[in-house]
Amino acid sequence: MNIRAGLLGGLLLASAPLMAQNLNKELPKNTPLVISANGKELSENIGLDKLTKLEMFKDADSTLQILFNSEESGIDLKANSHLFVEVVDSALTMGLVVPVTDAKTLEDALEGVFEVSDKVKGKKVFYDKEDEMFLILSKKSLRLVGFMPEKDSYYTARRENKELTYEQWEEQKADRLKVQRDKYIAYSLNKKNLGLKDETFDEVVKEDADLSLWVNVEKGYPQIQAFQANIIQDGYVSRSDRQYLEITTAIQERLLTYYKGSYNATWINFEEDEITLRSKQVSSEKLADLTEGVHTSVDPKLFNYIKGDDLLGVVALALDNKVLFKSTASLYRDLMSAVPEYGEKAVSVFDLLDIVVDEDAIGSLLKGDAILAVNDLREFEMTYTDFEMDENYNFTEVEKTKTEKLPVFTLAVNTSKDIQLVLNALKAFELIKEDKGYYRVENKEVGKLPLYLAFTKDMTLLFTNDEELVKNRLETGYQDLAVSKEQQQAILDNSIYMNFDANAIEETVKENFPLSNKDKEELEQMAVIEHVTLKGKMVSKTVFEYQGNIKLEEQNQSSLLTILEITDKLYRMSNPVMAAEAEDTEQIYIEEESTEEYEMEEAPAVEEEAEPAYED
Amino acid sequence: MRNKIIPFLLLILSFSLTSCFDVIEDVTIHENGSGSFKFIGNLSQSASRINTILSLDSLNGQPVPSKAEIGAHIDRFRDRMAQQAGISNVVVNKDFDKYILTISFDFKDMNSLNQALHNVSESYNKKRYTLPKTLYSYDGNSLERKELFHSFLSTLIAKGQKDQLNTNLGGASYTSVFRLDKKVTKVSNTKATLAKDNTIVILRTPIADVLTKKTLLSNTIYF
Repeated sequence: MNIRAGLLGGLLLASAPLMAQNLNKELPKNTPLVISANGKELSENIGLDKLTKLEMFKDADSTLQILFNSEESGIDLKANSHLFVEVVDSALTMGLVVPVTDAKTLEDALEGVFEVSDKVKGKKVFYDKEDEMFLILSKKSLRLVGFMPEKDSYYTARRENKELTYEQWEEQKADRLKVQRDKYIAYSLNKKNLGLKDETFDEVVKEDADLSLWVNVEKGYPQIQAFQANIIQDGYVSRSDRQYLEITTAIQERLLTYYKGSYNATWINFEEDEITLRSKQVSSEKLADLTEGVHTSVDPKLFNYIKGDDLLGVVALALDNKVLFKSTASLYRDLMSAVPEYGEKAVSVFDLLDIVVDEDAIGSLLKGDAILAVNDLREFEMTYTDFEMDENYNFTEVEKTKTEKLPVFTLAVNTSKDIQLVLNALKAFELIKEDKGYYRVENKEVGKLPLYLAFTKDMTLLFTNDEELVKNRLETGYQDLAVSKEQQQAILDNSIYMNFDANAIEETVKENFPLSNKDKEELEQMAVIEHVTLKGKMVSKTVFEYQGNIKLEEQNQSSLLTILEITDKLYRMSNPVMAAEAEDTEQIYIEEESTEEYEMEEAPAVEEEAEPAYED
Repeated sequence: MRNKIIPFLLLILSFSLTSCFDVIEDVTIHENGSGSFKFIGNLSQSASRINTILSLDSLNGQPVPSKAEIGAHIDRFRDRMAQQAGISNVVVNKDFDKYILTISFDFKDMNSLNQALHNVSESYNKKRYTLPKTLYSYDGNSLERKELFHSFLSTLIAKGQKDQLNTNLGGASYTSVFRLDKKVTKVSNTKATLAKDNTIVILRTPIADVLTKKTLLSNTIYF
């Protein structure tokens, strides 16, 4: 699958419309992953004319140019389009289904672009001889399919036939590609392989979203297995390979029973100056039974150690480690019992471990809820070595101190009194040193940076570089200065929570760190992002739901267009030719090598070691 | 990892934000042309950032070597230097806690020093890193130290890194010291100073000034 296929996919997803004409019958019956685009909303908000002005689409080849002029080329702009993935015969294929209003016009346009156009079973097939993709045009839809070519290397071929020349190998490779393409074309034209029928997919595309993603885990998992098996089985299969395959297949088959009925659905909407995301992971009853109670909410005591007024970002996670530990052990016990020959032995080991290991003790040591916070920069005193001249003008080492601005971070972990045993061990091994009510981390790897561990009276373990917290606020915490009540509630309501003040991070970096012009430009592009939030919780026994939000600065346009414009500017900056054009007046401080100062042998072009021509 | 060490070190300098480091070149020359050479690279002020970088697998597309790999490269340099004709007492001290590297050795005459530096740099098989055949010249009445630093770095630094490097070298300094048996009568570099009975010539400059050619390291010392 080449870049053209990728660009084509990207463009079509960005330009195809709502009010779904039902294209399910054009989707492969066995596809486990479909991304659907609500083109009406997207194309109306963005507009193809704006899209074609983007630098990254300007290089589009003739196929894309046809589609840029889609109104004249017969593509239906008033229906959904779908991108799908499917493993066929252990090889990965990707495809795109786009509705068509005027097949004849589109056929004429495509004929002028592709080398080969065949009519098979009443449908028109287009492809280039050296491409790993093809198009199938019917009266109502255009299907683009790309596939991964079989692994092929001249080096491997030469091991089997020492007389083989590179030219001969290239010819054989082209033949193999043709056979492979013909196989996929036949597969794609066979009606038996088409027609996606899945209630969960229908439910996903029914929702009002600009983009939606549907993943059928139950269907996808065996395809991943087949794909992996193909990688292992490519070429010679040793006895150990075969044994490995037997074991992994047995485990994977058992694991599949936990995925029955599992699917993921994600909906993304590009509002004006805001991107919202909703995602739900639906588990099987079997997996839900096993993991029930794993997701909890954080203990509110942790908030007291998180300073709120200069917070740049916070991540909170709340799991019940006791339940997690027990359910993981049960899962592994069951999976290992499926292994041929060794299953019974493995189960015995798990049973013995069950007696020896105190799950409750482990679960209470780190209970599973924690908050990581990053606050604004503060000045830290650091020591370093300098070389100074003594009275005899000899250099001697002198220890000096300086201040440096660094972000303050705090990891607050809910724990039990048993954590003191771990701290005692760290102390015994001289990894930490006890101070007044807290510990200094002594590891040389952290250089001279101040790092502290502290264990509070309310059984919270703190790992931080916040001197104020460990020296003056261990007893009381930050109290009124702690994270806001509103954010506390948001954290309590979810078992996963992330919140980043992107604006504040950008301001902090810009004000406190020297940046190159390129860094500054990149930062300015990203500055349009104001806030990023992601939160997730169990909404029923089998459903875990995420909600995300990216708030952008006011631009009065679709957030997708804003994101595409930023991507386009970054693309231009990363393109050396475009970047050079943009900065042709910029002074370059380091000039080319001068020959005035000394005569140095002419430095030839860099000689990289030549790679053997036959290696892939 | 072979031949990746110099780009990587430059990468460290360019990415360590407020990079503070010192480079010291300390050369003692006796009347007969023999002497000793000492190089000190002191990155102690940037130790915490270097630690952070070394914990990464790659940075900006460049693989990040481990301390052991960096140490092996330095040892290889030491061994190659020790094999050079007219070079003796090669001592290398690498401190990975403070990030201070010290290399010192004695040379029989100026030709041995020049040849050794050239040969060892050439042995890295990257001609753009090769030092000139004559970096120092001594005729009994004068000692010439030719410009190197600016030109050498210019060939090393990829174009895209120049701007970044310029921005981040605010705290970096270069010190060149020449210790002589004879009294110095004149020096060509106006930024150089004389000390201790006019037998020691010191030139200390911000590295950014060397890169922008505000300061040249070339100097001719007359006795």
